[in-house]
Amino acid sequence: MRLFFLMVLVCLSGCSASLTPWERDILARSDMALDNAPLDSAFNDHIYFSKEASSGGRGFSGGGCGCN
Amino acid sequence: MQLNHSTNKNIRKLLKTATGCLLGASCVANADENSLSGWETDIAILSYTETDRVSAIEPTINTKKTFDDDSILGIKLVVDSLTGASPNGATPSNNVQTFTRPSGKGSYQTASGETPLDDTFQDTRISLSGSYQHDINRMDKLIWGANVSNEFDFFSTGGSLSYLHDFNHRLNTLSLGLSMEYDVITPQGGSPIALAQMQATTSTQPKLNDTENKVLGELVIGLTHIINRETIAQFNYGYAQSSGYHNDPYKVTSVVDNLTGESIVGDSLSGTYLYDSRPDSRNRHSFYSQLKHAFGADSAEVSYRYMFDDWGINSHTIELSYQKNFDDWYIQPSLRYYTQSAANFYRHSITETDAANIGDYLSSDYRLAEMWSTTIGIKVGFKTPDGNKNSIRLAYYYQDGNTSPSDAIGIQKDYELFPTLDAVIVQYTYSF
Repeated sequence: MRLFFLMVLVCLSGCSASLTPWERDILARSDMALDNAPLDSAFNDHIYFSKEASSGGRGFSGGGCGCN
Repeated sequence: MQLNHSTNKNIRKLLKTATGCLLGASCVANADENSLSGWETDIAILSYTETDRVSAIEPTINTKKTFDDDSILGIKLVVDSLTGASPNGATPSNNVQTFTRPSGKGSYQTASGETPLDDTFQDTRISLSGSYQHDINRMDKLIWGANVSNEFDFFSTGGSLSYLHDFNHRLNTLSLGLSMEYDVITPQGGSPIALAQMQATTSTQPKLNDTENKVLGELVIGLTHIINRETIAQFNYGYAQSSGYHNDPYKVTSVVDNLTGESIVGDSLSGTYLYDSRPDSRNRHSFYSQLKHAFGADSAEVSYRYMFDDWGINSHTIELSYQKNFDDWYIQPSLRYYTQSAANFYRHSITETDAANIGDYLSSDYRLAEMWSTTIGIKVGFKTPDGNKNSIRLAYYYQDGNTSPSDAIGIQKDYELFPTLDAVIVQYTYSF
């Protein structure tokens, strides 16, 4: 929990005033998308949902799965 | 080269047409490429193999189309086929143990000293989901989602709605998501009466209902923040509330002798095994943070999740990955570490004395135990000559827990009371 708030603090303390469209070239790269491999994420979520007691976080936690 | 390019183009066209047809998009035999242009499709297959336990194959098709008004329609189909053995929750014994199958029509045995596994685990799940994203105005958009999935003993349907708002010169995005899920559980042989004893096949099984159900509602509030030209972060808070049937109908808890730790004789079996009993509601809170940074042509990601619920479970998850980009390919090593505390009604087993005063809830499901797991992975992505993307991912998952708890009694000290597991994950994805 403390690690979460530490990350929030560190990230928000580094605010930039603005970025012009031509300064967003790096962030526009596919590997810089926050979830650049949604299928990998979905597969992982399904595995961890069925093997551990926690799920979600990045998105919704429902699994739609019996997962015994 | 001309021939190759033409062949590739035809293959692409065929795949796009086939995908469109399969997922219910317009399907005309002579459809030209324009009718399906704009569709971006991923085909993937996942192989998940645990040592001596469960294995699964999961082919998936995910396709989306971006329309002229920037709205996006997405459709995903997953088929999940599982076979193998799963721990039934009972503890090892010095004797051969006999268990009744969930149907009540057969039995299986576990050799002395072995972790009891139900080896009849077999299921096929089909899941179909869709999403539609559209702008409300220049700074706001909505994402609608729906999903339905079906397997032998489980049916699930649900929907979601997310609202996204850009602000602060588009340096930030605020998101608010709501979802609902309705599950129908039809355990093989019916749902066991909570805390009742498993009985031999010759006796009447303590079963209550043919079907059970569960409702899950969720709220996710998120903030995306661009820190600078190379760095972006995301923070989410999630609250999930579920009510209804939460028991695992196939799990039992051993009742053992106060001194020897050996399973005590049951009503009709050589051991006493009590069916799972969990609260009929669960409330979970999660805090998720993610940071992504570009190092020149490469990128790195770190994320952390903290979760806690009213069952007494709290967990920490840390994930790290680094993507090294080359001209036409990349390599991405990754690492995940997870740890959780036990649910307050988890017991690896209970003594005869404790059994006289159990309380309302009891479970030996290893997923509710104190545990930790590590996943080490590597992914390689590359492009085919026609420019389409491929990736191969290989990962190793290892899960461990408190194998020698301090409250182990007698013979239990000779055995591992948490069923450690390791699994190999292989995934191939082709995008066109």
